[in-house]
Amino acid sequence: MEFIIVGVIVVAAGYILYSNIKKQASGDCGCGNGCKGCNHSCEIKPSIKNNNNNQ
Amino acid sequence: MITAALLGNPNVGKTTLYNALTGSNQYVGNWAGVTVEKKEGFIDNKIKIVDLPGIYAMDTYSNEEKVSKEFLQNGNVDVIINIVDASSLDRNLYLTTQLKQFNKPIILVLNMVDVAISKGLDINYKLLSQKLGVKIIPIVASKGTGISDVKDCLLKEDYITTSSNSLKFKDEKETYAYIEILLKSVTNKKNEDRVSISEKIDKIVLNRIIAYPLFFGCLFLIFMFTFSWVGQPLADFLSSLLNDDFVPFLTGLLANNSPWFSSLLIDGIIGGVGSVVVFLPVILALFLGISFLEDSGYMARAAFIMDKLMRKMGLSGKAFIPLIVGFGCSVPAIMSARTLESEKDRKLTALLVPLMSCNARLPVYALFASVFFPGKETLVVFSLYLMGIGLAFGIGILFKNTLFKKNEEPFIIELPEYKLPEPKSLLIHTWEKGKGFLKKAGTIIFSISVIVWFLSNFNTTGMIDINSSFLAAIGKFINPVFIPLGFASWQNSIALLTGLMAKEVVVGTMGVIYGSNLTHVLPNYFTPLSAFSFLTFVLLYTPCVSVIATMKKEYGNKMAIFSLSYQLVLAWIVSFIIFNVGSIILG
Repeated sequence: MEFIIVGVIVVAAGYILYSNIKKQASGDCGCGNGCKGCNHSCEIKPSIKNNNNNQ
Repeated sequence: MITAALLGNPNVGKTTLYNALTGSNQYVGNWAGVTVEKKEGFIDNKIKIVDLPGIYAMDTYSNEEKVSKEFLQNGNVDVIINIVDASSLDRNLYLTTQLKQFNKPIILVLNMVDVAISKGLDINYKLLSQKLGVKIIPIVASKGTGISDVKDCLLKEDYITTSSNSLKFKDEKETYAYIEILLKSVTNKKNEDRVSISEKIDKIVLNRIIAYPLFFGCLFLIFMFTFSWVGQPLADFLSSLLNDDFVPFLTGLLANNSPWFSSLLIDGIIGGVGSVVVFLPVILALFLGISFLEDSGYMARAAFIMDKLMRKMGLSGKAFIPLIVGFGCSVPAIMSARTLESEKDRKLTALLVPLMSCNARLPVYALFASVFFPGKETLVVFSLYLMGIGLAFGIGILFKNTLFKKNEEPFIIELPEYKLPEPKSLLIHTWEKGKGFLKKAGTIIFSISVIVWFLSNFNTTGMIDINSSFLAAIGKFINPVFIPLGFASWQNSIALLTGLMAKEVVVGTMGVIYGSNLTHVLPNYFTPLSAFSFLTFVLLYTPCVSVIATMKKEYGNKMAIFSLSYQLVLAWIVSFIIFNVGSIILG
């Protein structure tokens, strides 16, 4: 049983690491949200959060 | 099908109008060869709306301006929808006068007319329409008022199809003079002398003498909040829960299992992931503070006041925004440098961004500061952030005078009204950070912890003592490089190596190798001075693989290799100076 659990953990870890390296090599920051649904977009254009302009 | 180009200054409600007009019938795409995103949507499959990037002018300084100009010239545009902020017509109409030069029908959508009215501004729409030769529709996009008028106008093609008065001006000065005269004739302002609250605050915040101390004072307060008042105390509490309660409980639970099995769970997974996750409150507290500054409208002022300093290192104040984004994560920060006007500006900013301390380094700082500098955590972490800023400044000047000699360019930034941030918006933004951190803990930190555990417990002969493991062999190989920096041990070398995947992994790896109770173990391997030298190295060496990949994607192989090499060399030199000069001073 222990071998099975460890096997699952090690395989899962290996797979996660492999897919992360692949993602990172493409420039994904690894925040976990993916570039398409990037939550960083609000940081790239911080002004979109403030709707009332002044000067 | 009619093609309508939607244009306007940034932050005037362009996206709100676009969404209101097109509903869900939209898709997002990229233009080949350019980096700026555009959106296309449709109204009843009869009108195609192309949402172009927010711009101030058509002067082709920036990518956004180039993209918009090119589209208006070559994109078969039938009509231009120019959305403007009705309360700031003096600034917004500059773009309108330039759009007139394309000789296309224009629908001038005056957004935020409610704000204009509240400011005592009375606009004669009919007269303005006649004088500019455009169709005018007043709206309040955020409330949906007037959207149907814009739709009807487009569907019935009820816009002025012949441009009777194409406006041409010699220069900026002449354009603004025309706008001033035009507005005097079409608007009536009550309470003209009234000074808004924002203007009153700006008199203090933008004051030459007070501006810089106030900016650094604000940052220091955020660090106090993070490391002295809320974040760090909560992290310490979580750490004691983990080490004093959870680990003994799990050890008891696994008492009858094989030693290697319980070691994987306790030393590998709990030691690796747990030792990082306990710093979640530190991340949340710091980003709550930064979100507060952003939402209040202060961050735009910070960029404005930094313009002078930024120019000294050959950058415009606009580059301050990517650098600030760099405090969160270097990857989007490097990408946001795309919005800068010149290629040299973009490259120089991208090279300096990694020196801004990203949030992934926070767990390392928080851990070492609490172990080696108790009571002075805020000062130590604040000094690291300042060191990053200071070095970026110095390196910026160096690169400006060697690699990136160039002319200065103008800087325009929106100064939004100050407002008390909405708690919901603050919490959402802060939680996004926390969520990203937890996702990282569950993926990359988890996987590296398991692999580090495996490599630190096994070699070709099976399970062995950690000092004879694969990992020890790798660590001992790179260890000599760090001897002059004062923190040489194969364990620390491995932590720095795995930290190339993500900086949080430095703590995770130490948690696996040294055990989750790092507070007690680390003083055996570091002195306060070597700990600070280590923190300096963590601050300055390459943030992670993603950053190198992004540099390569954005600027090519040479820049990626240069960025990686100069950061490693800089990190080594500065840590070397700190450790050796510190050793001499401390005797």
